[in-house]
Amino acid sequence: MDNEFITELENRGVDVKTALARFMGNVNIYKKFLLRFPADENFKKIKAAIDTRDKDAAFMAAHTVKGVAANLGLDPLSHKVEELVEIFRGVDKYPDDPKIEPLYEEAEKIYDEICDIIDRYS
Amino acid sequence: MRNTLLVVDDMEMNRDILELIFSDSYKIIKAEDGLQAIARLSKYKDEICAVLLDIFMPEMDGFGVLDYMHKNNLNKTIPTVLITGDTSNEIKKKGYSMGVSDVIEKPFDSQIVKTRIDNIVELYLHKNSLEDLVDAQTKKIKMQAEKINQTNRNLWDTLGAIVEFRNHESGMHIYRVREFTRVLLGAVAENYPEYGLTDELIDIMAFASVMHDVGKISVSDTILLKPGRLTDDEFEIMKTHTTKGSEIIDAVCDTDEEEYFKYGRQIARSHHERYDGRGYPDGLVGDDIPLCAQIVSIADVYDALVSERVYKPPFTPSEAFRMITNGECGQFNPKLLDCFRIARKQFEELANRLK
Repeated sequence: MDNEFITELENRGVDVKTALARFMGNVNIYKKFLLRFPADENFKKIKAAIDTRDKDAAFMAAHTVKGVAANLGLDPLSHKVEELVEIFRGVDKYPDDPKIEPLYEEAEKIYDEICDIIDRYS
Repeated sequence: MRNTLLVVDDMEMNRDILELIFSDSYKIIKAEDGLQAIARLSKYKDEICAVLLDIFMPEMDGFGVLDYMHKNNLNKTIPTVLITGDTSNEIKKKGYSMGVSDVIEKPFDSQIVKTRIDNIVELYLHKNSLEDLVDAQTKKIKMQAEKINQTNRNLWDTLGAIVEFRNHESGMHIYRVREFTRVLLGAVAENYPEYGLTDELIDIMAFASVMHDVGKISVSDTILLKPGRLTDDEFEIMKTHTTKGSEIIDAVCDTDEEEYFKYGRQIARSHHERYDGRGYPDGLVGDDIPLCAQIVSIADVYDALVSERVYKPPFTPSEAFRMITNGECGQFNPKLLDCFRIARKQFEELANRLK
């Protein structure tokens, strides 16, 4: 991984150092999963589930994105998505929470910015 | 050899990270959902040293896997660590209540995960080896008890044989009496369950029967080996072999804790009692005579009849059978005579075989 790539990620709040340590310092495998991240369908699934008011699908998709983002050190994204996870946790019916839409939009903005950096170094 | 980690997670990245952490120290098997996990568990249950388990997965979730491990007793030997992105206390509590050893939250610090898992694996390996050790020791103790038992029996047989050899007999008498006793005890157990004879008790009583004449060691040669008829005084001395026998056994063991001694004492003392009370040494009547002594008494008389003695030729088994059942050789318990009739064929076979 070249330094510019790392610097750009770090400027967007990505904790590359901690994530690399999680991958036991194995840059190749870390990079492999990082480059794969934009193609992951789960972020799009969050939106689809919100649109169809499917609380279980929204929880599962958000939970998955949160986990993947956290593993890769994409902290701003995982923290934002975590707020969505907590809204959908253990609910009986789809929650009428006004925070859902703005939270998703903020998450999407971070997601797009990070994916943009990754795509440019792919 | 337990050195395999089962990594269960539906996310490839999570499986790969765990593999990166642990592939230096363990063999890694991976599963992508709960159903795959239990298939791997059932196949590799003797090799897996720990399960690293995700909760949310398709097909079957982590709790389903814990349930399977519980039902199949795998949780006793294989520790499970939940590795979950879910930080809620509900999930953790549920996990602990289902017996997981630890809960690790994602994203985790790899060094900490490695140390925690290594510690748990080591703890379980130690616990398993201690349990194996206890099992092995228990087996050893059982074998030693068996050996002591066998030694006891050999000792008894030897004592019985010594007495018999002094009597200038072959040592076969006590052996035959033991086998006749065993046959009659078997018939009693089958036809009179009220006597409560178990297989174990039958075995003990049969072996204790070798002690019936042990008191003869105290009777002098002039009486014991006298070729002719005994005088009344001599017979009185001869009769003391019953009380001397129980005294000898008392000298070896004066409690009833050991069943061999308990029955051996009863048999030595009371095998010349008669059901009508005209026997010796105590003149006991009916079922006051210990059951084992009554049985050995029949076996002893039967063997005396079918064996050759200096003062008589052997009777045939059918003659012996008749003499005992029609009361020519003393009064016996009618129930036991019933059993003797039932076991007649076995007695005759034994008599012919052990001649």
